[in-house]
Amino acid sequence: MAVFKTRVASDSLCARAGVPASQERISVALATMVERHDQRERADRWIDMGAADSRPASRRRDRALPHLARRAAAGVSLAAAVFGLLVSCGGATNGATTHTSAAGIHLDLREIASYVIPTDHYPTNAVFGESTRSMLLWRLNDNRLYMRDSDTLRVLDVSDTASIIGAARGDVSGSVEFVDGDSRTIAVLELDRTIRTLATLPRTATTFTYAVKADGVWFLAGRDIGGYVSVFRVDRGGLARIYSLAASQRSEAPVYLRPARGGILMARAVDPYDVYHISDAGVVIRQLVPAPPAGVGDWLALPALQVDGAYLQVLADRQSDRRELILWDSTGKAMNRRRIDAPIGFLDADPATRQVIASRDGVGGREIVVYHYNWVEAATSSKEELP
Amino acid sequence: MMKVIFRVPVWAIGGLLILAAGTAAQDPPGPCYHCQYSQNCTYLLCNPVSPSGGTSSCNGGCYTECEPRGGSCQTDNLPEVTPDGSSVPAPALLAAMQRRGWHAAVVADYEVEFSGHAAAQVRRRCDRRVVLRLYDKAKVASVRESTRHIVL
Repeated sequence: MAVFKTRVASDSLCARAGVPASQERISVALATMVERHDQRERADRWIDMGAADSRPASRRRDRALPHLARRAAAGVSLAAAVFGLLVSCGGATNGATTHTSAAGIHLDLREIASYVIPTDHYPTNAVFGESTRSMLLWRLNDNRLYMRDSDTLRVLDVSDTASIIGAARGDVSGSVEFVDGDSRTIAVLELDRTIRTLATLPRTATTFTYAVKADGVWFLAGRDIGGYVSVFRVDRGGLARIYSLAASQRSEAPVYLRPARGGILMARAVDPYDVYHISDAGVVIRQLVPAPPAGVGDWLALPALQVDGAYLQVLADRQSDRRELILWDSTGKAMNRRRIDAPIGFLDADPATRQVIASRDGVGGREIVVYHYNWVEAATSSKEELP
Repeated sequence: MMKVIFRVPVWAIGGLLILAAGTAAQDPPGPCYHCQYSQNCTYLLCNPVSPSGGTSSCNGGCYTECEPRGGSCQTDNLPEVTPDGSSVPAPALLAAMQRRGWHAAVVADYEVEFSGHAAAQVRRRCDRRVVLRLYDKAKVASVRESTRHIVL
């Protein structure tokens, strides 16, 4: 945690294109990817709004710090955070460990890297990998996983018939866990590329459509024949239904899951685009319902993320590049809302590295973009009129 | 000692020079090349522009510009267009350029996608704005709001 830091980094603009080399069954370098912006010049004041990190300890950078040094650093950081928030927010804080409502506070996202993905292999989901420069990607209901390390994208075909509905880093370094919605199994792809079944889900009338691993536990979204949507937690003893949408909310529309503090986020793709922060025991911690976008549009909600304690949602107009970015604070109060004219959606956030993965249709093709985020006092963009 | 003198007619030398010049001018477009390790690639684009905007398969060659890593950026004396995203939508940016007959402008906060058999150039200035330079028959398929920096 840090308050009012000034950061200066070198700026470079690099464009290198890669050509897919070849495709083999497992672990073949598919393509080098374009990294357009290694680093961007940054010199901005920023405020740390997220102290409590619910991610596993393995994802934290400060893991190697000696205990005493960590405690001392935490004390200094806490004092600095309180001071910074008092100065910047006029004392409008409810505590330094949670992202709370603060007028004039903005989420500042700066692109630090973008990778053009071959159009034939376009993943729709991504999570950060073990290192800061690796990520795991997959396309919903596809049979391939993609592992991005440094400058290459590897394709991991897990099975000809698999229909992947969720993937995550495995417990063992280098391994990947995934949920096959077709065979209703949770499996792990080991380092030696062997696949081992971890759990077989019971045969029920529920069709599992989405899966996410949060704090080491798998959660599944499923739909009954009648369109009733439920969320399940995978326990050692089997499958526990922890939450069900009301009968009036049954729908065939997609439901997204993402990790969140103490549980998961479930977001519905269609009107009313509501987001549920559900604890691992099935208690609804927060329900967010965005105001409908103004103007004409055919809107669809994209997956919602928790960024530190705040909530980030994107509504997409299916008939244009318009995207409505909505930010709530940790109490569920709407903070900021902005419409942009660019096709973008957010996939994963890592508070330890303050990075967000996004998917974007860019000028050079479809891209996976990594942003570094900060909480800033006010918008820094300037606007001028046409001459 | 016997001297051997080759006499070459003047017209032959001239012909060789013309042939050499012609050969150099007609070099077929090569594949896109990337800048050396010590350089930054400031500009890489197919000519003609590929449908995807990518450079992995440039049929007619490509434009590439490199600069020393960490080195020069360029400042152009060009008209500046900094549209207000809320009041001037992206197409209006193009319309404004065309009305003014501009073939180049400094564009901030927008990304421009080219289409057709266009030759265009994009360069980053010292102030990190983008110089958009359109040549003959250049067409712009779309202009999108830049998402390199988002403040929400």
